[in-house]
Amino acid sequence: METRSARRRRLSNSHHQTGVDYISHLPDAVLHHILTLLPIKTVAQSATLSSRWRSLWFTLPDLDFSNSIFNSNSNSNSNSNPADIIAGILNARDHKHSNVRLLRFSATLSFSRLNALFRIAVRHKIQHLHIQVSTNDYFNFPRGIIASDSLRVFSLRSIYPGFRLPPSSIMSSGFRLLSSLSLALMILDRPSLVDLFTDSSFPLLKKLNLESCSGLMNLRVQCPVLQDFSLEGCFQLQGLDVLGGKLERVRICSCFDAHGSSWVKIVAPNLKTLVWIYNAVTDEVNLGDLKSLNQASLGLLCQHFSNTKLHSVSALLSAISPAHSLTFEPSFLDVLSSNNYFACYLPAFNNVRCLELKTVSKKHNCSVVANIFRSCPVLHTLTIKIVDAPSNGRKDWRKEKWEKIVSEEEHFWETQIEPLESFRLHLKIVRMEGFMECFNEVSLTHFLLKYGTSLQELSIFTNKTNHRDSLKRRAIKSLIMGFSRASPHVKLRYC
Amino acid sequence: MRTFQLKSSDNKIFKVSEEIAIQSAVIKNFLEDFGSDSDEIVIPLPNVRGRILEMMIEWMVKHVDEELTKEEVEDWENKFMNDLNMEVTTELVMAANYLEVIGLLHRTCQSIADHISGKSPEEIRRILNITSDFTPEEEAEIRRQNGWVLNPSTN
Repeated sequence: METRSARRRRLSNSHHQTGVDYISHLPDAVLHHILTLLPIKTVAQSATLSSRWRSLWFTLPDLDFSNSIFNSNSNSNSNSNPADIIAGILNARDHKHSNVRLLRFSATLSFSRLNALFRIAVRHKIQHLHIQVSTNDYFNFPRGIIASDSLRVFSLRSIYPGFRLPPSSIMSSGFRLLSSLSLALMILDRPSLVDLFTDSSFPLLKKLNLESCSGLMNLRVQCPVLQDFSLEGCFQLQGLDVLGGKLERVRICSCFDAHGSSWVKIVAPNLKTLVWIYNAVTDEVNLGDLKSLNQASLGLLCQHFSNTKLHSVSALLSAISPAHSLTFEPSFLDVLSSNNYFACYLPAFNNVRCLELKTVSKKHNCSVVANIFRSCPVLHTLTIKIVDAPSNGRKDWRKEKWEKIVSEEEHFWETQIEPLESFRLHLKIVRMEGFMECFNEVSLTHFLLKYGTSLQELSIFTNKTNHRDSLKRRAIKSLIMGFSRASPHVKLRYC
Repeated sequence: MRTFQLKSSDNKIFKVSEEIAIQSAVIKNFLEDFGSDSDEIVIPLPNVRGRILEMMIEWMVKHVDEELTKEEVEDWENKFMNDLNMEVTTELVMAANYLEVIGLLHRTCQSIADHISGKSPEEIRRILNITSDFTPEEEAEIRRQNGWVLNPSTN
């Protein structure tokens, strides 16, 4: 019997030799879609196919040069500088109907070429402009772009050495249609940026991303419809004030690494995601009531940490306590471990169903881990990612010694049976990644299996890079597989 | 689960369940507007002939099959695409574009892009049967404009 595909082929082949051009008759929008799946050089080349394809090239809405290596043939009499090439391509279009929606490129340029490109981009009414440049010296933010009446997405990343912003009054008068702004490596003449992102500037801005703002000490963000705010690598920051009724996602990363007092205030009643990692602990934390919070990631820098900042850690923790999903970075466990007294005061994470602990496997953090477990009484899924290889405990694997330490840890976990009752009754799924076969991991596994009465699945993914200890590995695997299990149906995987 | 009928341009009728058909945004909107629970609904699709509609339904059925893993669906997609010639591919592109079956539109467009990728204009013309309608002067002009992309050998 003839299969469907064979029939399809037979029927199709009957037309094959007649040489019909099926492609060129597709609508412009579809052909443009196909062309955006190709490198821009291939698209430019396709302009030589026929007048149909030439017109497609001259109306292509998205010009993405980010991955193209420009022809640097110096013998060519056409200009080989990327800026001139892009300018040439845009200028070859009628700027009143140029149809360019997006322009993206990455290049090393002179100021005059960069400014010329900005002027062309504004003239062509480009809506999405993504530029990554390195220049030979600091440059000034292109003022022409501020008044653009078409720009919706603007990303300006200086790779080196950075750019200066014009005065806030000039910036905030423009960008009336902008919905997304991303700036990286700006140099601020004044340490305060409190009058730029106000409640009347950037009226349509939904997404704001600021990175590596050199010299920035005080920042206030109050854009009225902002949903997504991200701030990264602003080490000198001392004061951060964010206010937004529509804010759903805030990410603050690698900030506040300064001596001197620091504070943060975020008022975002509808916040759903908070990422707070690699930040030094500020002296003051005011995150208000995050009652809509769903997800939070927390990681703190231990530098400049002192007991006087404990109340800030406490404020951060109670602010994120309504979350349903929590991720703790290794540095957070360090802060908790550095002060066991404090660890007793973890707030109750009564909504947390998913918890991810990233930990550097150390000998004595089981009490901290137990404290965190106790704070998550209805946890459903626990993920432990062991991100670094410990040196202790591995090299020292002599059976007697190892068993002795395991038994000490197991004794500790035995004392936790009662305090962790609710945790044990709710926990269903456990994943351990980067398992190093250390005693603390093994004793935790033993505890979870032996007393996790609702456990459905426990999966252990070992770190496969080290093959030398395969005998030990097999011994530990058979040890774990032989542990008694409180839950009769638990699926145990060790791979 | 509601079922209803799709009618092709050559009057072929295909019975499909709602779960399958709503992968087409157009059909989904049609059903929302129609709002009836009747099994008698016939949706006429005057721009799609029966053979193409049949293949499209075959695609949509595979993409609601929960028994298949992601890899199995990908393997199936690759085989599905490999069996097509350019005529059928372009008809499927048109049908997927018309009925807004986004997954199929993207996959068929990708398949055409793969035919073009890495080829010289001469090869592309041969593979896709594209005839140049340029005068030698026009062709020279466009080559000059696109000097930055052309290989030294073709310069």
